[in-house]
Amino acid sequence: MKPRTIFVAFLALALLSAGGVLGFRWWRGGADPTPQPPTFDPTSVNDAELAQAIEKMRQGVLRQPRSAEAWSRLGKVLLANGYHDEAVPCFEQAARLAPNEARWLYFAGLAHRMHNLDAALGCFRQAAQLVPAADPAAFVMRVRYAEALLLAGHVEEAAPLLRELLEQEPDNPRLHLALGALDLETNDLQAARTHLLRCADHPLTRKRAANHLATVSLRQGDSAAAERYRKRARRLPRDPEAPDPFVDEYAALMIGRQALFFRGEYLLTGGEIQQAIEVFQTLIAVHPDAVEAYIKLGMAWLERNNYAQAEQVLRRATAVQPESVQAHYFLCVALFNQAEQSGAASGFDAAAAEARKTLARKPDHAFAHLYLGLVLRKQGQSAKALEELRQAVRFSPESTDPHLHFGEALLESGERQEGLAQLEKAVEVAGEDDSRPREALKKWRKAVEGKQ
Amino acid sequence: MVRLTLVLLCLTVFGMGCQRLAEPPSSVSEAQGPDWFEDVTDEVGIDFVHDPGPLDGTYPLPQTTGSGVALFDADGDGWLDIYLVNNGGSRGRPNQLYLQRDGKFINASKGSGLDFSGYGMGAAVGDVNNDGRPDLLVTLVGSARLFINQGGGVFRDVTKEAGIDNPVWGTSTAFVDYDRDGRLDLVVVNYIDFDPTKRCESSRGQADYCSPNVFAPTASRLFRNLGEKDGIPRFQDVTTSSGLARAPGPGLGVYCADFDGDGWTDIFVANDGRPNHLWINQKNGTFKEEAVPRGLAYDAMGRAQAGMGVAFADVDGDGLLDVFVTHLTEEQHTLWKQGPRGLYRDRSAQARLSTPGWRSTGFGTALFDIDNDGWPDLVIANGRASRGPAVGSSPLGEHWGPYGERNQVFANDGSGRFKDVSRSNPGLCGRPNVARGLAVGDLDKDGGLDLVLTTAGNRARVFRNKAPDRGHWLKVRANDSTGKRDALGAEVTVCTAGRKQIRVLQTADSYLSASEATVHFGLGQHTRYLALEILWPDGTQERFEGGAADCLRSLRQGTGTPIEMPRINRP
Repeated sequence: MKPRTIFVAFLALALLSAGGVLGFRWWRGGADPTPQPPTFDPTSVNDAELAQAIEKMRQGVLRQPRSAEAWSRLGKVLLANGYHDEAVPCFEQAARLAPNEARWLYFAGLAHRMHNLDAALGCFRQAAQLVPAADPAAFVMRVRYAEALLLAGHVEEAAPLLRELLEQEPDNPRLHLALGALDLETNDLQAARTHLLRCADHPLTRKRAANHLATVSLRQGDSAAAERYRKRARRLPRDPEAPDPFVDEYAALMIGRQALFFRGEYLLTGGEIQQAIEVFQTLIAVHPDAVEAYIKLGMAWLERNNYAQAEQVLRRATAVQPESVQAHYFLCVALFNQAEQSGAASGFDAAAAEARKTLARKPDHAFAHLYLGLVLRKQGQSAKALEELRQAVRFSPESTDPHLHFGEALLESGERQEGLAQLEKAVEVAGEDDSRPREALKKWRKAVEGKQ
Repeated sequence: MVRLTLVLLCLTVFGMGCQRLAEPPSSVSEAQGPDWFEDVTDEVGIDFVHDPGPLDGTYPLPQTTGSGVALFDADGDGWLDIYLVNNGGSRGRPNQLYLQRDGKFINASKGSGLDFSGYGMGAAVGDVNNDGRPDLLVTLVGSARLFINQGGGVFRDVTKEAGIDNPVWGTSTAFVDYDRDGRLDLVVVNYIDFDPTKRCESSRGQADYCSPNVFAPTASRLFRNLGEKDGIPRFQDVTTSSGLARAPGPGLGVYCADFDGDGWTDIFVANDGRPNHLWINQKNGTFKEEAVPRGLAYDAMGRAQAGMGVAFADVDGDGLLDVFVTHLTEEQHTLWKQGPRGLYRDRSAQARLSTPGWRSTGFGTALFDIDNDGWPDLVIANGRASRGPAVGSSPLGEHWGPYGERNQVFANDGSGRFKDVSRSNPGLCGRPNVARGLAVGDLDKDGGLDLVLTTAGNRARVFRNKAPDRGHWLKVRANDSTGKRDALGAEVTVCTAGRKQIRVLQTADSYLSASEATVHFGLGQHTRYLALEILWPDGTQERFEGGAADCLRSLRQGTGTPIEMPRINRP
């Protein structure tokens, strides 16, 4: 048979198949049957406001079952509030209804990424292929796809895409980080170093870059540089998530108690204190019984050295949940610091009372022992203070302060040998940025030698 | 016309949605393989049901971390016995000791000294007083307890006299002679500073177990064995002076071996949600944490994951031991391949471990040669740590149902790549469980390694190795120069025609568990082996003559031919 005849036969077969599919769809009513939106067991959503929001979007889908926007709105509110698995079919349905729209596939990928990397990769791939190059979202989608490829170990597929994207944005830190990781994978250490140095100081990538640079340095035989990068990485806070307008789009729909709490906690642990305070304040305004939000807000105020504000919210926390160890402990910290500032004896008494409440609920709380010991030391009760500080060291030998204060208390009571040994341990566990133990050891060594 | 055809084809493809395209390749999801294990729990008489404490809706974190298992010869009759830990609290069911008698296990807990209650976690086995009998350490939430083997399956609690004070939440634990003084020292991995009043919810607002990230991490502790006084070993807490206090972490898994190639035993700790720690022995009683530069702290993308169980084996036969750590369902289990010596790289994708048939939260894990073909295979004991999607009615009941997952087993194809053969192993992987501990040992001495698996709140299970057409095998016991104590940390290499295999003699691996104190090699078609080479924990090296396969070979330090094996330069 001639090639042309084969081609014509193949074409005819393809047309026949396509015609059959279209004919079947026409016979069935012109389109896929519309799946029902997810139904929710009311007992599985403990948050009335969230349940209401989800139901509102669900009703929107019921009213307009062929609207991709309606399906995506439901998907986004689900995704924003932790219902990843339920969000996926919504975005996939939106993608079916609007097959030229890349963003629904992209959202499906975002919904998948926490639980199913393979599925997420498939969605990101399709979104990246579908999005027009001129679309401002194309770059974001393709970077995400390239990162997912790398994560799944598809190095050969990721490499050309990352390099192509880098040509568009030569200073993009995410791309340099990904290319650094990729070059490290393929053992091209010099290229890895070059890329990683390009993103080593960017707030989005600096911690991961430092980690990779430590590995590269040791592989290149430079153990001193490896150690420097390791220490740098250890000091740095976690790299925040890279900005993504699609994530922002669904994150704005975060209204559930848990979703807000997780968001605030994420910000707090990442050192974004002011944003965390705002999230927790919003949460408390909506859910005045959310004890964990009061505690986290108190912690955020303590980070800001605003002890009065911290005391206020932590007192509310102890009122909402009197059994909470954290509420009493952080209240103790707030009271102690205020007393330190004002010198008021009553403040120390109040702090000691909260420390005792903490220990009544959790006897192995090292730092409650520490604060109680500090108060007792200020009150001149040396023997009792020493006992509390000894317990603090026993329960948390990895912390600097118990060793430091126990050591000093021992030295003040004339226990020179053990006191100096504790200060040496404080030096051992302290970070390089904390000079207090070294200074205390120097001071006390001099004092002890002077007496001898 | 051609364009129209393409458009039509494209429309058909897009109409499928991304879920289908994202399914794993058929070669992965439909992989068939041999059925390797059968559940013989009832047959051998193990009736242990784990006590996780009251399921009263408070969801205390220790409940879901489960408890471990130890496989060791507790009564000195030459057969492996089973010790199973409970964590029901002081009023809960006590831990149980089962002694093996004629292929069955008899509950010998009463009078053993080991039948105590508490929030029990892990177990380690090692002869701390060099009397030839394996002793036992059990970690708990708030303590660790040391038991000296008195013989005949009777143990004596010497915790206080021995100076073991670990007043925090201990998890996995290991005996290790880190200072080469001929006495086993002790590493206790500690988890977090647990607050029992803290309540957590899932993202959907349901009561759930807390993430470890909400608690402060604690430091692993190191206890140096100072030798015996009045017949009792004395330990000194050297956590701070050794350097281990410098980097606390929510530790769950541990493996002690030479990770950097200098012949000294190091300590690897898998941390839950934070970078792992690799404590490199500085040969002067101190350790330096080097997981980041050596490549073991993070995955390939620089992310810290929820490290739980640990396995250590040479998966591709290049003579370098590799590290495998289990993680959460939302993450990937990670295989770090070693190379060059002392440096590691995440090679999970290349080993085909990033696209398993299904994703899971792995706890216990083991890399060992199931079918004796000379290549280590992989078993993962699975069960979620936080609520999963609603599953309807579950055989695990209302409480544990949302945490149930099926176990997994992967076959090594002989090149360090793995094939998920879970579907063809219904005995081990066919039903959901909340599995935690996993220990490996040849319970019936047939040369095939069997498994004992623990679950949170459910039965412990025994799986007999029934791999068809298993290859030849060799087991090695390596004892110190007195011939009494297992030389934990020794690297044993077996030489066969054209090939060498290396394994580490280590009981403490996996998650909260202790496996048999022998080294097992699958020899495939080889009915004989040419030689055994051993790097002893004190740095000396010896060679022993070869012999016939399919037996247990006992070696004693100092009775072989001293050799100088070439050491590969390390960074």
